[in-house]
Amino acid sequence: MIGTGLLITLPVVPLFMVIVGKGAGALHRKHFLALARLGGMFTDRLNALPMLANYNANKKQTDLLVAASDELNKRTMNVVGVAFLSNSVLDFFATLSVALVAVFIGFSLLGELNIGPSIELKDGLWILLTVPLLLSEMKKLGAIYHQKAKAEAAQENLAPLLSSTDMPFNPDSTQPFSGFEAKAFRAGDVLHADKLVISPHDHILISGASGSGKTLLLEALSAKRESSHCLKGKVVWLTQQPVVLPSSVRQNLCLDDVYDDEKLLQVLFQVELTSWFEALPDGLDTQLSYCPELSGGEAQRLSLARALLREADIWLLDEPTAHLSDSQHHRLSRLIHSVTQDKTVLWASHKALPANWFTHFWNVKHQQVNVQ
Amino acid sequence: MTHRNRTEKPAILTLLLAILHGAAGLSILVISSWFIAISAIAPLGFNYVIPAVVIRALALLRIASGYASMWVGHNDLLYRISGVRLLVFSQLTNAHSGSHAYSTEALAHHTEEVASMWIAWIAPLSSVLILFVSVCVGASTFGLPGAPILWVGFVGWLFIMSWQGVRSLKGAGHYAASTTHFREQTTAFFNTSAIWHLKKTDSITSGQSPRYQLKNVPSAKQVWRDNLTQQASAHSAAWLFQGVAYCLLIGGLLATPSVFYTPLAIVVPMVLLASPDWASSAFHAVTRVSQWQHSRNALNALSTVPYDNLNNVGFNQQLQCEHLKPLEWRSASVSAVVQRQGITLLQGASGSGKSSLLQAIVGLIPSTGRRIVDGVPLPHGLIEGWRYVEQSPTVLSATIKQNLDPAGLGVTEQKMDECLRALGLDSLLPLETWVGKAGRHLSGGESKRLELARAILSSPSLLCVDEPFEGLDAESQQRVCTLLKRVSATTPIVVASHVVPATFSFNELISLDSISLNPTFQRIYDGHKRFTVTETGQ
Repeated sequence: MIGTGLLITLPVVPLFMVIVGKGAGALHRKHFLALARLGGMFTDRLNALPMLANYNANKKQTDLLVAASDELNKRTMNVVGVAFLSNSVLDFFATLSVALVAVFIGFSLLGELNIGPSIELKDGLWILLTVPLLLSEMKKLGAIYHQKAKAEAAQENLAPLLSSTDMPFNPDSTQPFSGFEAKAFRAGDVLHADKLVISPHDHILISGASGSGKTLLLEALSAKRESSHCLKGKVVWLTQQPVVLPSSVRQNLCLDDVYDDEKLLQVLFQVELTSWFEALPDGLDTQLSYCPELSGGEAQRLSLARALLREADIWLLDEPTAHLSDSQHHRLSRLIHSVTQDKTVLWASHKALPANWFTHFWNVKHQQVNVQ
Repeated sequence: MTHRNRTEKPAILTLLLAILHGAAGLSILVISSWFIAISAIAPLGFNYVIPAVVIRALALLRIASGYASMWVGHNDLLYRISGVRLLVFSQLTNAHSGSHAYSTEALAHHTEEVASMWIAWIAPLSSVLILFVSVCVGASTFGLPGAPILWVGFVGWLFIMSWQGVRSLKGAGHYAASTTHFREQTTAFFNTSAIWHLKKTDSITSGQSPRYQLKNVPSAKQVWRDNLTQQASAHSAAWLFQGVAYCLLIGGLLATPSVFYTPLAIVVPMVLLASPDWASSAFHAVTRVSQWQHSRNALNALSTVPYDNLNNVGFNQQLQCEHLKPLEWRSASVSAVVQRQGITLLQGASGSGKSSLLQAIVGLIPSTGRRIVDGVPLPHGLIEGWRYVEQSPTVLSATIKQNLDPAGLGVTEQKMDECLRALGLDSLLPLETWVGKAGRHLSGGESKRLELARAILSSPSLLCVDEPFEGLDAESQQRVCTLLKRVSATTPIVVASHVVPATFSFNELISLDSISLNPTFQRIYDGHKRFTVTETGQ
């Protein structure tokens, strides 16, 4: 009798939970924009603190935060007030079934009720203890269901990122670059070209207004972005933001690889950092930091040395001199040109570079790569 | 302050409801089992209606108090979170950017942990404690058979609790350390995305062709592991307690079977049997104590260096910077003059310190040297009416209108409209458009111009603009030039830029190039004999 009762009630529990969950979900969607905007305000204003101090806006923004969090709390309570019902539904069944089972068993023992087989004391107590256990397991199921929903939402947000972290070719391969030819080249929907040809030892200048897609083209060619064709061979990048790690000069050059000191000194000499290096207190083991102890030009030379160590065939240069003054731009460009003479080079720049350095000229305009 | 009061008021109601919830649950069990037991014996004239009604009433009470304690507890939690966050915010406002050695993500986590104190551990711990004590005292008072067994169980529970408390304290330390480590690692990892391609890779064979993935990618595995260890230790404590409870029960029944032949004798065994259900939530709660303690320490450790705020200073003739040197600079100081009218251009390669010099002039970062306005030296500090327009713009997650007037100065909508149009930002109108998080996304150039508009609309008495032309197309650069020219008629302006559009007209020039590159410094520009780069006196 109790068994059949439980068999009927147990499926009802998830059903109620789904109904309540749907209700809470609808409420959440209704408040979604407000919740997202108000909820992010604390971290947003924390990130903006220096600006707020400069504008003397702390008082006003604190008032805004107080108002926003009150509003957020009110709306959140609206949503969770319904969501809690799902928990209460379980509580309702758990508690009521204990009460009803107790009364039922008691009455059966008293002989007031005569349904089903007769129950003895020890059976009655056993049932009394197991019924709440059964329902507390259901409660755990509810928590897991909630976690599943959270995980699905996170997966939805991360999916586009996760699918693009790995590269389709081996960036460590030592196979020499043997040339590249692409007919009807496309990079997603944003860039296309009729025909692109790159032979080994080509030097290609890519020009175009800022924001026209030069970086995008380089990314597509090196398979960092979805595209119809990509370069196969060992590639190094030099971008406008040189990276200096807060560790030793040696680690900055080697990263997770090993090179002997002689080789390191040789590349430092090649990028004209020898005099800078000789002034360092601990030589290759001098610690560098994020702080601008290196000038922009020096940091860029250090990245150039790092790239030289890799002995790559293909060099992708994405405006490596963009933030430098004119004189630094000229000195660094000459240096890059001289160390990359026997490589294949694609150099994107909107600054002036001597035309005789290059064998081919590409122009990016209106989502189209034009070969001149 | 209203929010301060909110957090300090103890959440007694949360606690009371939690106790009521627990007590009602336990009472149902006790009365039901007694009712069943007495029904089995069925003495003559036994009134079974009253117990049956009481059981049903208790059931309703339990359900209601369960819902109410959840509702009240969460309401209280939300208000506590906002209270703690406002407190942290007000502590960090007006503090130097140099002291921002924390991540906002960590702060969000710590404030939440600190605010959840009542709902996470005070309420569950004290309700279990109070229930356990009252059950023991009640059993002794009414002389229930087996009351001593309950007392022994209580002592056992206390022992296991303190053991679990010590273990979780250690676990919480590991957990906090691994979380911090993971946060630092991921930040560093993403900051160095430009050199990922130089790193070693692993090959993964999935599907038909092998794919390659970066090695040494920061992993959250340790964080997960530490979290699971914490949970597992709470579970094991709960299991241990359950074992102790069952052993006591069996031991008691075997030792003195004769006392258990009355209906009331059913109470103690039932309470012990059900103890995992009502007493073991405390083991999870005690884990939260350690986490709460960690977060509280982290928040207390927030040290801030407040700005010295100075009243607005306007100037009639000129601002003289005498040997001004931001503290982070290593070698040289700058002496320069900014005139009341016109635009002063500050030039230098990136990394030469243009930004920090501008911030030092305004007073946003600490510096040595002096700022002299019309012959009167200023004390160190942030001057109210002087604006620094950042190189990487800050856009608030708010409406355009709030973004343009963050301090609530009451800038008229007409002025905002005009300024946006002058900068070619018509597309951002109307002013009620929400930008930033969960709103319209602004491109780099749009944010740059929005920030400039914000600075101009705040009617500054000195305007320092960092790289206004970066990321702008030729037409927008032209608009910015024109607007700056117009504003410079009434406001002194210093512009730091490595891009100088052909149409940009400036009256003075300061060049920083020779500071950071040459070990010995020289006078670099003598045209107006107004500024020189000098060696610091060493």
